[in-house]
Amino acid sequence: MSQQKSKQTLLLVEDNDDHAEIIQYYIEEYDPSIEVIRLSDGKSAIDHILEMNSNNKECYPWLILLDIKLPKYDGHEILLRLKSDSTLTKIPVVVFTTSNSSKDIETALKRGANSYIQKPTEPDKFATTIATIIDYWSLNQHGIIIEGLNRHA
Amino acid sequence: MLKKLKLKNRIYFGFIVVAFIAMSIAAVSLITFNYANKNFSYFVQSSKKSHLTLIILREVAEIQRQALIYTHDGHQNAVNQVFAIHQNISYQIKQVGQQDSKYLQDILKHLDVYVNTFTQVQQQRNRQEDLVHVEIKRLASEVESNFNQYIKQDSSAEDNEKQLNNQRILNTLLLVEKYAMRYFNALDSKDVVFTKTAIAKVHQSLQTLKKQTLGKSTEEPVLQTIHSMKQYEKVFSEAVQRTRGYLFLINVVMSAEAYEIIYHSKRMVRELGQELNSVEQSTLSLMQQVIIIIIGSSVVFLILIILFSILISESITKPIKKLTATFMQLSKGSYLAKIPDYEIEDEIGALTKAAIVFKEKNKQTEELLLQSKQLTADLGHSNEELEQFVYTVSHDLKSPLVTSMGFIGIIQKLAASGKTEEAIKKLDRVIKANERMGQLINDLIDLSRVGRIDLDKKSIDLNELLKGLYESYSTELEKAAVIMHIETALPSIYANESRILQLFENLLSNAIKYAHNPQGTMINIGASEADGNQLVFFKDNGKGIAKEYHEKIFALFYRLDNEAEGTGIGLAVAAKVMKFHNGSIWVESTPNNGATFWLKFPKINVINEEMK
Repeated sequence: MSQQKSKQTLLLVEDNDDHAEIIQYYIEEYDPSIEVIRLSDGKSAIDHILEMNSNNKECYPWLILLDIKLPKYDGHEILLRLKSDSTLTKIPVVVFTTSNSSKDIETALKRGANSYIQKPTEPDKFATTIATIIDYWSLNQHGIIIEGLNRHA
Repeated sequence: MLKKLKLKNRIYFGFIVVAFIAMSIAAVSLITFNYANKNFSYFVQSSKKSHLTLIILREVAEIQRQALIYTHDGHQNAVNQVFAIHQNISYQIKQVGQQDSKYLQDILKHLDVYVNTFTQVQQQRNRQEDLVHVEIKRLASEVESNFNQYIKQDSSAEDNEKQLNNQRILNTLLLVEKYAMRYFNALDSKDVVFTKTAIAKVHQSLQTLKKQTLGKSTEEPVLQTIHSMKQYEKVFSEAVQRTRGYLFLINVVMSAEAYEIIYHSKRMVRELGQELNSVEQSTLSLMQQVIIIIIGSSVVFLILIILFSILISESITKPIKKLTATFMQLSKGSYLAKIPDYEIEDEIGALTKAAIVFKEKNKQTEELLLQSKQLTADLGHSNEELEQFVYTVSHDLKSPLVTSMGFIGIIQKLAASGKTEEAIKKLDRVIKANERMGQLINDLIDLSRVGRIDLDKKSIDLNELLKGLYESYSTELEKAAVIMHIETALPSIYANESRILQLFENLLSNAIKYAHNPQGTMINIGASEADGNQLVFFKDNGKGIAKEYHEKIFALFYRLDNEAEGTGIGLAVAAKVMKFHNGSIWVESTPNNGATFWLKFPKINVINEEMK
């Protein structure tokens, strides 16, 4: 686990600076070895993804934390791009958003979101939520797949 | 003309015309029958005349019979009958009227002659009666007594011869008597001859006797006898004369008159027959003409009635048919149905008015239906909007909450690990998040107020309103180095003042926040007109807005630039305000060329008309 941790990159797509700062704080607090790449709008996220695919380098993220309400392209659009690509679809996407609308949840899951988690609104919940996400996806075989993906590339 | 009458009057008029035509038919019939009636009265007159001739013939026969009875028997009853019959015939003729018939006049003349003759006959017969029953008998007895005187005085009575002679004379005298009486009884003229022969014999014997007694005492009675005998003969002759006279009168004159009467009667009958024939012919042809006239005029009148009836009924049924078609259309809910023109105020006029009302109702119903459809659509739209609103609100309101809670969590951790300074620094972020939350809530309250609370609208002079706005924002404009130009002679609009002010404030603050131009920001406000609408534009010379965002920017919480401050409610409020004023807002812009916000208001006079 520690061997894998050193190589972990997390893609954070979040337009709200405050939220990004908070999320980054808690990730760092829980596992400082995770490298967080933050993108603040839909367009730059899609550009980044396209770049990932074309470069074919070992830069596929271990996990994507995706907000839904984004300027320019929203989270659903990004999900569609990710999950329609045979390679990128293997990257687990956790939708992490304030929205609790059933419409958003349904759309996100339909488009292949691996998980849908609401941003917590209680002070002590943030740390546990972030820890749970990281732990789950570190233990999950998807992490191994991504490693394999990176190795082969 | 007919179509200007009221329905009821039209029907009355129809009845009157029909009655008038029926009366005309009756009148024509009456006139023609009257004309024919003259001929019928002629027939009646003729038949009366024919009947009269029958009576005349019968009565003439009767009068002749009675006259003959009188001549033979001398009954006074027969005389009475003759005069009675004469009177009766005259009366009958005068009843029928003799003036126009020469035959009847002739008959009357002959009848008068007949009766006059009969009066003569009566006189003759009376005289004869006198002679026969008084004179002749007296003279006969005188002759007898005179001769008997002679016989008494004759001395030579013993002379047989003489006695025989005397007896013979007496016998002859008796014979005279006998024959005379027989004649007057049987009126056989042979008896007259016998009588005269006997008288001549008596005369002869008496002359002989006269010679024998000449100068003798017996001469005197003989002479007296002769004298009496002559007297007798004279009276007898006269009596015969009288008898023959009246017989002549009765047998020749009166018969001739009777014949004349019969002749004239027959001629009259014959002529009547001829006349009747021609009259019958003319009557027949007249009757044919009459029938043709009556039938012809009846047919003409009937055709007139039929035509008139058609005219009347058409004038009634046509508008009713039209109206029925209209009502059929109307009953199907049509509000485009053509309502026929009908100007008279009668039953059909009332129906037409009802149709107009019906149409009006249909129109209203249609409008209501449209409105309700619009409302339903609006409601659906509103529901969607509401859903979107709730979604956006929940998201955007939660966002600062997440921020604030996240930082509070961090602060707690920092504080727990003794990093107090860092913790205090983070408190600022919490405050800001909460401030933003407050701002959001305030803006949302503003938004919810639009169209809900401020219902009072009035005429607003945009010149004054924008002047006030300019003054209250002068400091901020100066600070942001924005030059604002407001055109003069802006129109007045009918609106809620505080909402319109809010709208312009939002546009202005947006311009100050986002429309930054390094060469100097300019705002230009002006107005124009289009399609009966009042247009107001709000123009800046900032970096502009890409076309894909032209609609999105009016959505709630939509923000083009997350870096700049703002809640994403301002333009949503502007859109809602415009909608509330039956207007609209849109933007015209290309990137790097500034943006123009257009506000469209209905013109103030249009609104006034609607209000009326």
